[in-house]
Amino acid sequence: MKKILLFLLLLTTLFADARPYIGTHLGIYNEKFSEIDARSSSTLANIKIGYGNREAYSIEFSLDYLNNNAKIFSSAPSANKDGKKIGFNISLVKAFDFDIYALPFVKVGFGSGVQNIDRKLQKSLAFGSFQLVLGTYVPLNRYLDLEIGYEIKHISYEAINTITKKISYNSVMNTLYFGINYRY
Amino acid sequence: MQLSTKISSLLFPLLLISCGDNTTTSPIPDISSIDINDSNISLYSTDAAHNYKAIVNYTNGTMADGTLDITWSSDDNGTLLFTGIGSVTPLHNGGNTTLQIEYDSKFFNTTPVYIKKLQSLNYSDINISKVGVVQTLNVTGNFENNESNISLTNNILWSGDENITISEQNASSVIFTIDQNVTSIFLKASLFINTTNQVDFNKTFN
Repeated sequence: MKKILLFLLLLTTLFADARPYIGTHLGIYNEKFSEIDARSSSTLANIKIGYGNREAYSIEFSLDYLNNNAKIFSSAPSANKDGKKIGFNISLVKAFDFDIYALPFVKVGFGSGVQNIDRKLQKSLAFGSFQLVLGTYVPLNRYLDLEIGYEIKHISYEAINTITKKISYNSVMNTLYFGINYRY
Repeated sequence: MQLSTKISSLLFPLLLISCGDNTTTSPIPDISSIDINDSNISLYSTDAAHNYKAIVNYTNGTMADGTLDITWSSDDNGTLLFTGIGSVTPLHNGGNTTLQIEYDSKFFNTTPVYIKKLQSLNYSDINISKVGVVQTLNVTGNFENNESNISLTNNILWSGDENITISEQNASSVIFTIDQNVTSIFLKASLFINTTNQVDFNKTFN
């Protein structure tokens, strides 16, 4: 009981002056696989909803939509590239107020998603991820802020079935994005 | 100067990321087909289990052994008996069937199986006047298509009349003792005993 009360007290402290917010960002990414010589780079869009204090802590839920121009998993000759990725992320944001115009932040989180592919035995591939973002908010007023961030994301894909083996692939995705948030 | 440094530091990672190229040919080979490692199987009805392999062929030309990962079946379970994964033994004296492999309802392959019919046996000599002496009877088989004196390895069980005692046996030989003075003894080689496909080869020695 005491631990729960302490936890609730901590939450109250962390989220003092907290407000809900929504936001979106656009970015470009470069993904490199570790087990195979394969790369993918394209653009992405993200929408997010969060709750927190712009100068301190926030929790954030976001949806990613990633374009794709690479053919890494698909094998069908008719498929000239893999499908787009859709992902869902949960992140914790810690921002720092150094009394400068920008509010640098660190964002850590994890997520999961799915990508359509065209293989004989698989038509989609799930993936899990964890990510770290370094960036900054640039407040425009009490409600609006710009967000610039660099994200490094580790992605683990669902195993590829080759009948005799199930092979899992991992990648690291670097993303640079620019967005805007509205805080209520 | 400071502004240009800031802009450069922002643009540099942007440039790094945007310069990434895209893989346009998948480096991960896909499955192209599955095969059985024997395209036309022919078995004697007295053969022991034969083991076959399922080969998985990939789009890059490589192959892998998928025997344990594939589902095996035959189109007629009364003709072939599965004694293990990819391991079959005849269960009928003669006949045709098909050995099938399948994976996930997406990959299939079949190969015909022909079981050669045992038509008669060739017996070695025995001496029925030797009472109480251990004797060995050796046999070979004559199969259809004029294949004669073929070694027998499986599926035969021996029995005899009340005047002999069988002490040891396998498909191609029986070791026995004649218990008393007789003018003849009777031996029976039963193929696929206790099945609906049982065939008996009887022999009376005088």
